Formats: sequence, C-alpha cells, structure tokens
Amino acid sequence: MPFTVSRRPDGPAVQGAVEASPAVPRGASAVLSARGLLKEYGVVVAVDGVDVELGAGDFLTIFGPNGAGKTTLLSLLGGRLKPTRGEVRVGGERLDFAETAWRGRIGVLSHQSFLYAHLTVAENLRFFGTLFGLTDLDGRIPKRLEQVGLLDRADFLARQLSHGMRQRAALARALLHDPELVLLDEPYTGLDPYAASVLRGVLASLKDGHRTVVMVTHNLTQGLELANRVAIQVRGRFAWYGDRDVLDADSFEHFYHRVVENGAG
Amino acid sequence: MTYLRQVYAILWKDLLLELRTRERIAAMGAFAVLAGLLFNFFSSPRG
Repeated sequence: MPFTVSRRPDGPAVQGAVEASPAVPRGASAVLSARGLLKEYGVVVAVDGVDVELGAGDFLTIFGPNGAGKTTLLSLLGGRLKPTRGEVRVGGERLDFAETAWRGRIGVLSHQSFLYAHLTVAENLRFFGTLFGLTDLDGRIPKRLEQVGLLDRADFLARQLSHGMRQRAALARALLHDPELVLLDEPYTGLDPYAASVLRGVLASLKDGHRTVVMVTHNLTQGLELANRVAIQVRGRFAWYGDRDVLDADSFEHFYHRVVENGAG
Repeated sequence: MTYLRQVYAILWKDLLLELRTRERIAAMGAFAVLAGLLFNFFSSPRG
C-alpha cells in the first residue's frame, strides 16, 4: 500500500506517509481548544507545542510509544495538570485553576477505575454525583448504569466486579454529569477480548454528535475504529495529526511505525 | 447548600467505608487508650 506525503508542517517528511492536516479551525464552535501546550518537568519536556481543536461529535485517538507524553497531554486537556506554557479552553472557557465550575464539563476515564472498593456501584455514583453538585441522582444513576450494561450490578460492591465491569462502572461515573468532553486514558488496558468488545460498544455510543471524545491507546485497531481524527505523538509532539478517513486500516501499523521512527530520529 | 451536601457526602462515604472495613477502629482504639494513659500521668496530683 503506497503512502504519499508528510507529517507536521514544520517536521521532516515521512516517506510513504499520508497527508497530515492542521488542526481544523472551528472558532466559536470548538468544544476543546488547546494552543501551544508545553509541559516541562525540569529538563524533561513531556508535551512540546501541541495544538488541538475539536468540535462536538469529534473523536480523537492519540497513539504513541511509551513515554511520548500522551497521558501528560490528557492530564493537561482535562485540567489535572497546569501547562508550563499555552492554554486549554473547554466550551470557549479557559481552564482557570482558581475556579472549579469547568470541571463539570469534563469526564475522565483512566485505566484504573478509582472506585471505592467497599462501596456499591450505585453508592460510588451517588458519592461522585454529589461532589459534582447533581441533584437528580435517582434518575441519572439507573440511566447511566443501563447505558453501560450494569443496571443489574448496581448493588454489587465495586470489589466484587470484574476488571471489565469496573471499567464500565467508571465510565458510568465519567458520564454521570453529562460532560461535553470525555477523556479516555487507555480504557482497554487489562481487558479480555469480550470485555473489550463490550466496552467498545459503550464507547461507540458516545459518538452521538454532541460529545467530544479524546482517547489515548496503544491498540491501533481499537483506536482507529471509533476515531474521526487521529494523532501520533512522539517525544511530546504530534508527529502526525489528521483525519481518520485518509488512513488505511490495513496498513496503519506500518504507517504508525514509520511515523514513530521518523519522529524519534 | 451544595457545599453542605458535598461535606455530608464525604462524611457519609468515610463512615460507610469504616463500618464495612473496620480498618481504623483498632488503631483509633489503641491511640485513645495511649492518649488517656499519658493524660492520666500528666494530670496526676502527685506530679
């Protein structure tokens, strides 16, 4: 499968690569907008000049080798880390660390569930929902649990659930407050093929045209399936960023390795 | 009002976890006995 052009405008060309496109300028309609994000830990640059702009309905998957800065980038986009330079806006509102209201616009799912093991699934959701200031939890909790297929496990302790079920329960928590932006950090980690398939179905339901999703994953197949935008991050930078449509799923692994080798060189 | 609900939620969560796990009860009991013992020596009329 022959590829054609390059990586990022200021970077070296990847021979046999496909056309990368710049961040689509969506202006006022952008749900997530990040400009010139830089995160340094002493001499280590974890995220280096990343620009992202996504609108409602966009699903961005970020690939990259270990240590590329993907999780750090996700933490910056979700407001869990403060950038050394640059800014992040969600719904046009700059993430101001002196305020907390914007946190209600973001839902986060990590590869660890961070559920209280000795609380039931429903109790976990009620606790986090209250912290989010939600008042209609009697209606919301069953709705979310049904969405992730766990309504019949509402009264089970979190520690009694399988890893896949805990991931789905954590996803229900991430969606409980109906966030505009959902950030998924390696959601498939540790799941067996069946559990991954169930989770994939739930994640597919997030593509409802209203939500914006950013997912970090190492799984090329699962990452490509749901995305309409794709980024390959290497050494903190987007070595490639563009539309999913220009990528060929069958030869993507080959393309990915070429981009990583070029970006790391 | 939201703030009070959040405080209550944290309190409810911590108490419920403690009732179910009883992880801190023993440590709290030992600390209470030790504190009482030390306070007893400190407040003894014979100095």
